[in-house]
Amino acid sequence: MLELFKPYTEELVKIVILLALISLAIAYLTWLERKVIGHIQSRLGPMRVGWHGLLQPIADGIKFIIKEDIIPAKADRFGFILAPLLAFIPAFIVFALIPFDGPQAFTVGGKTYSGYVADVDIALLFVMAITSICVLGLIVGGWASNSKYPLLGALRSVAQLVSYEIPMGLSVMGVVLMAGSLSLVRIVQAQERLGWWFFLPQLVGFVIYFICGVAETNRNPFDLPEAEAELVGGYHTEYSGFRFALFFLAEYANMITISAVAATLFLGGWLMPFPSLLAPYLSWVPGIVWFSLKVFAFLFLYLWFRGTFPRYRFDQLMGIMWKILLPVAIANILVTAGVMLYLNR
Amino acid sequence: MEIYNFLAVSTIVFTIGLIGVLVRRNIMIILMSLELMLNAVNLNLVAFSRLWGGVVGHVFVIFVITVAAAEAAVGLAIVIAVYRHRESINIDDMNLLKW
Amino acid sequence: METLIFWSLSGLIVLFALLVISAKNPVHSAIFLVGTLLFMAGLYILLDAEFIVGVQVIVYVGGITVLYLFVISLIVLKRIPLESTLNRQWPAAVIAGLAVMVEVAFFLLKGDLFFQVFEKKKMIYGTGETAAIGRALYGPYVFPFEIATVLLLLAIIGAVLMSRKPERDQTPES
Repeated sequence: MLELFKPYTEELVKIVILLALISLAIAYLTWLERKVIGHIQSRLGPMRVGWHGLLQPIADGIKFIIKEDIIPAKADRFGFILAPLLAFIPAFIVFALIPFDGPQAFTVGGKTYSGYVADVDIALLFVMAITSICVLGLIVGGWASNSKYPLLGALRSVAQLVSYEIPMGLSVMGVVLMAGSLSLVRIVQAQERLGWWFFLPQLVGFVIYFICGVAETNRNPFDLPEAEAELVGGYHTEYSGFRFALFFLAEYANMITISAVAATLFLGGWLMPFPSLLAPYLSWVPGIVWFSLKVFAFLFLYLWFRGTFPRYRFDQLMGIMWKILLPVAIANILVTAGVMLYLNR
Repeated sequence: MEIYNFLAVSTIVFTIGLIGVLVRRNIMIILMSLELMLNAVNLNLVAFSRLWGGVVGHVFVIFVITVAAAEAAVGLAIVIAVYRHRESINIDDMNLLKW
Repeated sequence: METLIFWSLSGLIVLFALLVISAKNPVHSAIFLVGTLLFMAGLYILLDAEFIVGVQVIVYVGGITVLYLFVISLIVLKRIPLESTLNRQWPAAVIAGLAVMVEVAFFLLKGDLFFQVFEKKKMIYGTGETAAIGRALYGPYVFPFEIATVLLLLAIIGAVLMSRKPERDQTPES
């Protein structure tokens, strides 16, 4: 039985390493958020637990695990238990598709391994598909809690998420047109051939993708469905302990996913910036370091938005999507296709 | 792995969907069983398309999924409209045309 | 490996489909439908239909089932016991359904279709399934494609019209 999995040992090892690293990244993203928002608000953030609060995520994790598991009496047990899993698991599946480094990245013991788990021909489509499964966890959680605020919060949240998937999908079509493939590895290689990263020719697509990414993860300024002054907690009001931790971690995992995809599509994945200038000095830096820096830049943007912007009202939110982002995304595709036809690339 | 395995799965799921449509009273579950039947047909189309090469089956599947989406939207709108008047989603209560 | 995946996915699909039609609660039914659709997508991956997998998950799982869950959440439901969830004529319906299955199986076995599915066949329109579908949709099948667009527009307008509240000056008396 185990011989069936022998041809896939490389992928299995990479998956295990990836799971460990991403879990660590998510935990420390929560620490980073509290520090960054604290400093934006002229205060220090967590300082007590460990040096400058570095052990805070571990303390939070222990707190979540030892809390009592409360299921409301009238809640639907099956849906209540399933919803955090439906929100959490797809957020991790996506990381198998994202290229962290190039096709010949690591040489360990004589064999060369690539920096991604799988090079799927339509990786971009699969990323869009898997992130659209997270929506189900929200609405099942909101309904299963059998209470007003979670239901309203879940309905608003789901309406927002499903609506913002449309301009998100359309805005990356310009990149696909320029790269000629839906595979994330080939898109980065197309940027390498072109010499320019795609965020310059596709600036409109880049901005729209990031705005939709912020809306997709229910983050400020689009976080009305989970704002505490408005809807108590939205779909996760009745959740506590480890189940709430799963929702919480799912949100941060989605943030990292969207940042990683944006870094791959628009900022050149694992490529070095200014290769003609810096290649003699910095070619020893592995691609995964450049990738992490780009993802970190996007995550910092996320945290900066949260510390700075007020939130949009729900009808303003939907108005922005239908009246501004969608027409601009469609116009972006038309202009890109027109220019490419004209240049005959 | 012959094509019969896929066709057998498709037939079984189609029958389960058919029984679901005929047996349940709740109109939402009837609509969901209808989706099961459409999916069984999709599986059939994709299996045959793989058998004969070519991409015709896949194109047909895209159209079936499109029509299923349109039908789900309009069907649910009708359910909401009927619920507003009858306060029930039991199909035995939707009997205005009964003579 | 493919045989193992196929049998486990098929078993799960049949199990979840049975759960869809026999769940008491429509939300549970919708969750089992999501499971069925995802495992069907797994079978499509086995059949090399990658683009269909993407379309199925995005449209069916991420769109249609969310729509169903929306409508169920907006309609107040009382939990009804299983005895009254079935129609009066359910034995006849089950027998009729099984008769249909026997008929379809008979016609399938009568045909001469003993071919192996996983022999590699070349796609007619080009390399890669997504590119082939793209060329087919903008080539010979462009007319149904455009009609599908019009159909979706009609569905949007129809759904919005059907679910509007009656206007104030024409309140219907029930």
